[in-house]
Amino acid sequence: MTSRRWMLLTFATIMTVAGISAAISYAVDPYGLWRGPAGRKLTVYDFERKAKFLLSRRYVPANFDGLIIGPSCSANWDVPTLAGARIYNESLPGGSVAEEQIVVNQALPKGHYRLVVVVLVPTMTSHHDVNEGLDTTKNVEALGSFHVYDNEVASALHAWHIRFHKSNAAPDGQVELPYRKNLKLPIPPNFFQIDPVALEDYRDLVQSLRSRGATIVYVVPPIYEPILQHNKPAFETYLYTVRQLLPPAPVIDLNSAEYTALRSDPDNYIDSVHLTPQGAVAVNALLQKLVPAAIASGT
Amino acid sequence: MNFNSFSYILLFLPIVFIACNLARRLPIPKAPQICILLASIVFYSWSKPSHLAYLLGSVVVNWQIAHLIGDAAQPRRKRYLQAGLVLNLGFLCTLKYANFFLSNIPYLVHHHFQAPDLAFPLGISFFTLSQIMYLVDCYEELMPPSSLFDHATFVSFFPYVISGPISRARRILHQFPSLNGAVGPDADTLARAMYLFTLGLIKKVVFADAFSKAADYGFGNIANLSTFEAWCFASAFALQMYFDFSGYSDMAIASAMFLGIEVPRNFDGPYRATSIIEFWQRWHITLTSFITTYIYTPLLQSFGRVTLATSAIVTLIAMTLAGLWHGPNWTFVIFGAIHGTGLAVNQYWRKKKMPRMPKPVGWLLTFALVDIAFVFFRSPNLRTAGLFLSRSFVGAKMFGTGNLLKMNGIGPMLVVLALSQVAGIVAVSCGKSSDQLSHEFKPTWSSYAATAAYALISVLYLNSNVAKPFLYFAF
Repeated sequence: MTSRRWMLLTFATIMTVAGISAAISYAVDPYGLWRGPAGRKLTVYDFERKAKFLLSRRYVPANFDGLIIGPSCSANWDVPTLAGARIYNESLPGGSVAEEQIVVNQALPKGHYRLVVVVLVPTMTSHHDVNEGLDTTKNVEALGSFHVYDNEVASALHAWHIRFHKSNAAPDGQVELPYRKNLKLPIPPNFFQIDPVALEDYRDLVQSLRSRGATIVYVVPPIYEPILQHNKPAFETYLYTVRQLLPPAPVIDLNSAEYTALRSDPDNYIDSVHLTPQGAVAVNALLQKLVPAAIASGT
Repeated sequence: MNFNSFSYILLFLPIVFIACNLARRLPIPKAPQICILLASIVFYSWSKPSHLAYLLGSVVVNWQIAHLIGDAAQPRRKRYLQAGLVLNLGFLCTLKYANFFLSNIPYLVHHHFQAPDLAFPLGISFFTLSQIMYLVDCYEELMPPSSLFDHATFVSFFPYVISGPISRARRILHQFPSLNGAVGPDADTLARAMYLFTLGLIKKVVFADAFSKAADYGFGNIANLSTFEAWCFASAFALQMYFDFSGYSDMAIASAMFLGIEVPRNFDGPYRATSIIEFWQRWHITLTSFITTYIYTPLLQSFGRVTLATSAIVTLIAMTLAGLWHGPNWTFVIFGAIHGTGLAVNQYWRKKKMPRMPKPVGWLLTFALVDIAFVFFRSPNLRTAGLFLSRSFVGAKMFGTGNLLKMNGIGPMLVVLALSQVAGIVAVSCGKSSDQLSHEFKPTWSSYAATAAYALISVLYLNSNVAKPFLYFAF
C-alpha cells in the first residue's frame, strides 16, 4: 500500500465509523436533544448525572412544570403530579447542591416551573464538589460517548426484556436505588458540616427559581427513627441554621412527631436515610396531601 | 489550546496544514513561514492573549542581544552574553519564583514579604531555556544570529512553545529554507506524522487520564493506604506522568512533522531503564541534554580538576536546579535532589567498577527511586509527601487492596478505566516506544487498522469528557 492510499483509507475509515456512530445516536436521541422532545418518555439506565444534565436541556422543559431538587434520599420519590404540576425528579444520587444547581440551570432557560420541591438534608450542603465533569458537559457528547453507548445498549437490551441490575431513571426522573439494606449504617461525623459555598449555591438556586415564578416548598426527608433520635439535636440545629439562611418558604418536616410511625418501620428503609420502594410510596402519598396544603397555608 | 481537543485536531492543525501548503504556491517569499508564525501567535494567545506580550518581548530582546554578541569582540561579547543570561533568568525568576523566594525569607529574617501575584506566562520555562541555548550557541559561534523573523518563528513555533520538546535554534532554523520551498512534506512523512499523532493522542486521553484517576484517588486518601497500595498509587502517578508528557511530546513532534519540521524526540521507553543514568537518557531527553550541556558541563569545568566528588556535587546541583525549574515549590527541589543523588551514586558505582547488578534488580531499584521522587513531584507540600512515603514503608496494613478496588469508582467507567490501566501497563512493559514505532512505520494494513482504532478510541474518550489538561502545562 502506498502512503497516500494508507492516509486516505485511514482518514475515510475514521470519518465513516465516527459518522455512522453519531448518526445512530442522533436517531436514537436518548436525551431528547435532537428531535422534538415533547410527549416523549425517555428512560436512562446509567450515568444519571450526565443523563439528567442533558435531559434538562430540552426534554424536562418540554414535558414538566415542576421539579424535585435533592440528593439520593429523594431520588426514588415518584410523584408524577403534585398540586397540579407535572413533576420531574432532578435528584442526583450522591449529589451536592452545586451539582443540582448546574443541572437545574440547564432546565431554566426553556422551561416554566410552577412548583419546585427542595429537599433539606445535610448531604446537599456538606460540600460543593462537582463529579463526572458535570460542569463541562456538552450536547455533542450525546452523539457518541460512553454514557450514550451505555444507555443505547441498555435500552436495546431492555427492549428485548434483558435487564442488568442498574439504577434506572424513569421518564419522570425517579431513580431506582441499589438495595443494600444496612439499618445500622452510622451517620458520618462530617454529615452535618455546612459548606458556605454550597449554602450560597443553595440560596442562589432557590432565589433563581422563585424569581422565575416557581412556588418553593421545602421538604425535610424522614430519617430512620433510631438514627434520628441518636442525632436529634444535630438535625434540629442543621434545619434551624439552613432555614435562617435560605429564602423563606413553606416547610414540610417529615421528621416531626406525627410521622414517627413511618420512620419507625424498618421495612421503609434501606439505610438511615434512603427509603425502600415501600417507604417511597408512603412518602409520595404524604407529599400528595401535604404539598397542596402547605402551598395553601403558606407555612 | 490543548493538543487533545477537538478544536486543535479538527480545526487548528488542519487549517494550518492547508494554509501552509497553499502558501507554498504563492509568489510571496517565505509565505509558509509567515503562515506558521501567525498560527503560532494565534495558538499561544488562544487562552490568554495578554501573555503574548511576554513571549514577543522575550523574542525581541534575545534577538537583539544575539546580534550584539555577534557584532562585538571579546571581552564585550562575554558581557553581552552574561547580560542576556541575567535578563532571561531574571525574567523567569521574577514571573515564576518571586513569591517562592520571598515566602522563604521569613525563615531567615522573621519578616514576611509578599510580592504581588504576577502573571505566569504559558510555556515561560520552556521558551526561556530555548532563548538561553540560542544566546550561548551564538556566543560560541556555533550559529550566526538569525533574523528577527526566523527567531520569532523558531521561539514561538506552536508545536513546542508551551511544553517542549526544548529545541535548539540551530537544529530548527536550518530547516526553514525547505519549509519555504515549493514542495511540502512527502506522503511518507505525512503518514508517519498521522500515525505518531494518534499514538500520542491515545497515550494521553486513554492511558494518562486513566492512571490520573487512580493517582488522584491514592493521593487523596493517604491516611488509610496499605504499603502495597502506596507503591501502586505512586507507580500510577509515574505512569500518568509518562503517558501524559510523552503523549504530548508525540503530538508535538507529529504536528511539526505535518508542516515539514523535525523537532527532537523527548522520550525513549524510560521505564525500561535499568539504571538512573539510563533513565535520564530516556526521560525528557531535551531537558537532560540542556542540563548536561548548559549546566553540568560548565559547572564541572569551573571546578578545574574533575574528580568523582566534584562530579557528584555538580550532578546534585544541576539536578536540584532542574527540579526547581519545574515549579516554585520545595517538593520540586527535593524531586531534583533525589534524582541528583541517584545519579551521583550511579556514577560512583560505575567509575569504581563495582559489580553490575542483575538487570531485574537494577530495573526495580530504578523504578522505586523514580516512584519516590514522583511522590514529591505529585504532592502539594513536603508534609503530604512525607505522609505518603511513610505509608510506602509502614502502611496501615502491608497488603490491603481496599483502596485499589475503589480507585476507579463504580459503574461502567470502572471497567473502562481498569481496562485502560491494564492496557497501559502492558504497553509500557512490552511495547516499543513511540519513537521506535514511528521510525519503523510502514503503510500496511495492520498499521492502518491500528491507527484507525487508536483514533476512534481516543475520540470516544475525548467526547466522553473524561480528558484532563496536560500536566506539563503547569510548568
